[in-house]
Amino acid sequence: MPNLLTKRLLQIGATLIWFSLAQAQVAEGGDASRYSPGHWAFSVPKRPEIPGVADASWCRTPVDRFVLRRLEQARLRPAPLASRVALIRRATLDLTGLPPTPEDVTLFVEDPSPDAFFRVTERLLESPQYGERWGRHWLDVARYADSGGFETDIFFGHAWRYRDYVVHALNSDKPYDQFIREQIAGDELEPGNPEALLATGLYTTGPVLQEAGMVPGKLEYDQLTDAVDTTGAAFLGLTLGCARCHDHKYDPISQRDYFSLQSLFAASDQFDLDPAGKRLRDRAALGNTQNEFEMEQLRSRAKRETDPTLRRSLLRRLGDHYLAKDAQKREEERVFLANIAQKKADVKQPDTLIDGRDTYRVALGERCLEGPSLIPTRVLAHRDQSLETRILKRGELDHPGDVVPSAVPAALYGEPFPTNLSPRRRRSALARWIASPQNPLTARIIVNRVWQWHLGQGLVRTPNDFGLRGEPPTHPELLDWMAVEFMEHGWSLKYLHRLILASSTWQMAASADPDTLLRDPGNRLLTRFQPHRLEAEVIWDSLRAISGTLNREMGGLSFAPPLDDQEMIGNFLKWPTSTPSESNRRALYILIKRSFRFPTLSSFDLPDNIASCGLRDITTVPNQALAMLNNRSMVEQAAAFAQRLITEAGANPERVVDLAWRYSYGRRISEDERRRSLQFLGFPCSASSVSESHLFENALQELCLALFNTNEFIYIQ
Amino acid sequence: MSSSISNSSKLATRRHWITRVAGGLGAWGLLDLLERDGRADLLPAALSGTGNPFAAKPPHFRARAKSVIFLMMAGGPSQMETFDPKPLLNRLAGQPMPPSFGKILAQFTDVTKEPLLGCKLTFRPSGQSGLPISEAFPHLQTQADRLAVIRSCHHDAFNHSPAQYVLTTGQSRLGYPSVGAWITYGLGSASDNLPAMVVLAEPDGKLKGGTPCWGNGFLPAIYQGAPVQAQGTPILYLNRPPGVSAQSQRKVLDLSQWLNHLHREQSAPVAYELDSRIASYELAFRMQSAAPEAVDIQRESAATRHLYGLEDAVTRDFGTRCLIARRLVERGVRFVQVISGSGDSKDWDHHDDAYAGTLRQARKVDQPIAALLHDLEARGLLEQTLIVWSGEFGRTPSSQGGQGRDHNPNGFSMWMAGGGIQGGQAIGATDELGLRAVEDKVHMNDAHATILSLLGLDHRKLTYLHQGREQRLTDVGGDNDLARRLLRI
Repeated sequence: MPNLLTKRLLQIGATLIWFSLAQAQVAEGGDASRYSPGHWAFSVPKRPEIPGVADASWCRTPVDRFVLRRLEQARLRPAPLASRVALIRRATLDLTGLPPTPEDVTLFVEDPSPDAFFRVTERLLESPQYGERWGRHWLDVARYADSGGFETDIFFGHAWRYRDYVVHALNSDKPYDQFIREQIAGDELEPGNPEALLATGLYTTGPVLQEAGMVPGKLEYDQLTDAVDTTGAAFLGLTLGCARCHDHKYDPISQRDYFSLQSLFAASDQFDLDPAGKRLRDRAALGNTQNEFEMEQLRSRAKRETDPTLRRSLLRRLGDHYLAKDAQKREEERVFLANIAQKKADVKQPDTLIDGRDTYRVALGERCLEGPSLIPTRVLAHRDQSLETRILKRGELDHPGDVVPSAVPAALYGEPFPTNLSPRRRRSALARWIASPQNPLTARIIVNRVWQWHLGQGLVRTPNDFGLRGEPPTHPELLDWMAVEFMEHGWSLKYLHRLILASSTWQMAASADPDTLLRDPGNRLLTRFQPHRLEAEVIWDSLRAISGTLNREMGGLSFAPPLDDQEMIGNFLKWPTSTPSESNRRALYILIKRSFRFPTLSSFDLPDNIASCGLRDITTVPNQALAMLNNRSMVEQAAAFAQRLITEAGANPERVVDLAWRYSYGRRISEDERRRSLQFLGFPCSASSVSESHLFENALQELCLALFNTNEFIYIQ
Repeated sequence: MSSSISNSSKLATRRHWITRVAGGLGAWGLLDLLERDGRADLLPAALSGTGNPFAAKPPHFRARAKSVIFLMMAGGPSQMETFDPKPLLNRLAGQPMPPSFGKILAQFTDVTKEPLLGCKLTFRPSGQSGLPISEAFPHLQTQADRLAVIRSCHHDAFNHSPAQYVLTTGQSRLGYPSVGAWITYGLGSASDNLPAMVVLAEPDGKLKGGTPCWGNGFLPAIYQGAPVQAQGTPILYLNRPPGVSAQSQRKVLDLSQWLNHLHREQSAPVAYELDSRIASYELAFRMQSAAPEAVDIQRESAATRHLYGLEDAVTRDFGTRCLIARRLVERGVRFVQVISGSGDSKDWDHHDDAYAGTLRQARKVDQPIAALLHDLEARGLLEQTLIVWSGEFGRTPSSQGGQGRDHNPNGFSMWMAGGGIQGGQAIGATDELGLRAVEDKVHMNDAHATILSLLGLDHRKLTYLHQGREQRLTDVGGDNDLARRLLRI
């Protein structure tokens, strides 16, 4: 007992000390800039001088000057330029998330003109697949998902509209500052522009703990927390969340700053819009039921389906869902069936009952196709009455402190932030403040992200943390130069892609001699192109692209590929399986449920979609090997690939393996590889005809599976 | 990993870490570490890493247990019907709760308005120690001297999923690593051909909290639990597709590995990462034969099968999973999570009838768990295997709809056994009605700190840098580490 008492007293003492400290800090008005005078990331980037170098011939762009300067200082040499084959494979995977076709490779390799690579880059940037690939990158940052997570994991039937907005914004090279402004405050800045409204979907697709609704104010608080944390991480590269519970130990963000940021969102809430853009109800439901989601799914399929039998079956299922949703319709059906039963009872034709019911269901389904989407657009808009934002001690709702005004963290400088904002102008003020050349972080953050997504690692290797705990840049001048250049070129992401891809830095080979490896093991000095494993989605897409099964249909509601019982382990709720015609769409469109990671891809380091993810893990686990060897879709894709090879190359094993290599790796097969693979296919000598075709086909399928399972296939290098 | 691994200098730690673990981690991360430490000269050591991402690592201090079997009772068993007898509750049954007990937040009911529900189950002082255990667990009563019951567990998540996250990750929000992931991260695995962490969920695989309950959270994906099925394929994608033999798969693998070796020669900058991938394919191939063997209970004697209740339809399922759990820890698996129920009223969520529900559900797990304790002891494994039994919360003393009880995270019971623990003791207490933990309160952070301690890990030192913070399983809690008091002296 004395022990317990002592402990308790100590606890009380500690709490008191903590409390007085916290009070003191709040009293100082949250000006925490004293912690970090001169932190590099908190001052506005200025265009640095382009440095001189000894060997200017290596440099194609100013980017290379900054890189070579460091290398020369360290007495290191850059790697030679990559081969043309490596370049086009790298560029195509990099910009579109798909491998180049053998024709793409040949065209480029045989194109002698000096602007050949430039034209490849332009073609790829103009292809709609560019937006899909880079949209996926952005969705990591935006912690995008199609459901709310937790126990109820409610469906977000509206989420895809934000996803499609992102893809479209990238494809149309929407200036990044505008992209930011639309996401944070599209409704305030451009109320008449439907696309700008969709952009606020960033804030309507976060995790939702539905049960939080039981505690008054908790749901709203969760929403504000998500909004501030996501905004901070995605646009400013700051982990603001720490400051929710206490003054940030390392960064100049006080608790007051944090809740002042929440206050910027406190006048807003999620609302549903009808097709005319009018607000539907006062307060949107948190998400959709599975039935609603499946109906929307069937509806969008039925509209696109051309095969009459398939269409009818979709309509029948749609009718069933309609009945399940609507009690009145269920009663109608009962009466309808009773009538038929009455009429047909004498004729003793049990089939008619089924036929009649069938027709009725199809008709109901047909009716569901009319009118606009069943799931309205969800946007961020203003409440009638703004919530009051108070500092919450320890970040706990039941410990409210002072009311705080809307403001941005003082220590981040940037443009002066207006005071006494009207509740309906708060987010636009924030958006302008972030998307400003005077904001020290914004341009640097995105430039670093783009660099990282191109080269595998950023100039700052903590892409979501540019604060004091983050790493300093390996090439600070290069980062600043690109940030300024980017802003002066209209915040154009495509400009940035061109700038990077045209550089010798990006075009270096993925090779290094042992001495260079020892002196620059982590490639911090950029002595070479660092090979990196493809992301889960790119693996999925690449397999289908080379097998010729990829369905390139863009946009719309997310689809749910069929899963078997084993794959469903861990999923408490039903999986709304889509029609088979959708199974081979790009992985970008696979339904993302927060409580259940899509099993085929789950071992390949998917982001958790709970908080903004700036950099995915790259792990190596045996489960990846099992998924790549044994998952039935791998076998299907291998069979399709084998079929394609035979169709295109004829039954000539040498031509078949040659083509297989060109599809899989973009390059030609080597002599050794040809010998080994022909042997694998049952040809000890250089044979040119096939005696037993099905044996050959089986062996070829195995060969295709072996290629899928090689490192060269799943690495960009 | 900032944990100061027992002996000597940071350098030795790094070297160890590099040679043993590097294979599985993002290799750039490794290189960064080397470079930041100015230890680029260690690179050859990194390159010669074994490639097994689960290689065993030493603990911070002397470990009492080497592995854990975590028996998770999803849905929230009632403490009043199981391990925490409340005589006053029966005396006041039918009356409203005395106002002095105050209010709690429960899921559906207002505890101040509902009448108190007496416990119809009888408790018996069991074993030499006389530890009271409810008659719902007749077999566990025979094991009383092995159990240390903690009656004062508490947290504040009152719904299933968040509470299941608290139970397994210490936090009610998504995105945090499970306790098994932390332990695997801290200690690695002692098996060369099985996953380090295995989950044995209900046959339908359903659990309200879902995969995050055994997830890696922000830790690298290699630390996530591998769900293993007692029936059918034990691991996702472990079975070769129909018509594919081991030989033909080996042939495919030989070709791809041959190509991988060629490719590796030309990819010096990531050679170690590629080595690791090559090794992971070999581990996967070995797992395909090792995992089915590990779960093949046909290899057990009739007596053992009888012990676990495999002949009885009610106990067969959980008995099978307990038996597999034993086989897995025998084979070096570090953490086995066996889950009873999903968190539904048909299993441990007794909103409708606490008496009948407890009896029904306890019947499924009682004999298998007693058998597991007995069997581990008989094989000399109990001393090095920590068994933890807990639901995600307890239940209210007041009734719901007459016979049921509502959720109550303010006070519930957990027990631990094995791993050097002194059985036959109860730690902490709830108030006289079982509403709240009042004495020697044990938050899940404390329970997690205790589990880590018993495995030789210091919960303050087992950290991982994420979102600018050195994150811990126990967050800022875990001060009430019970390990010293639990251990047999």
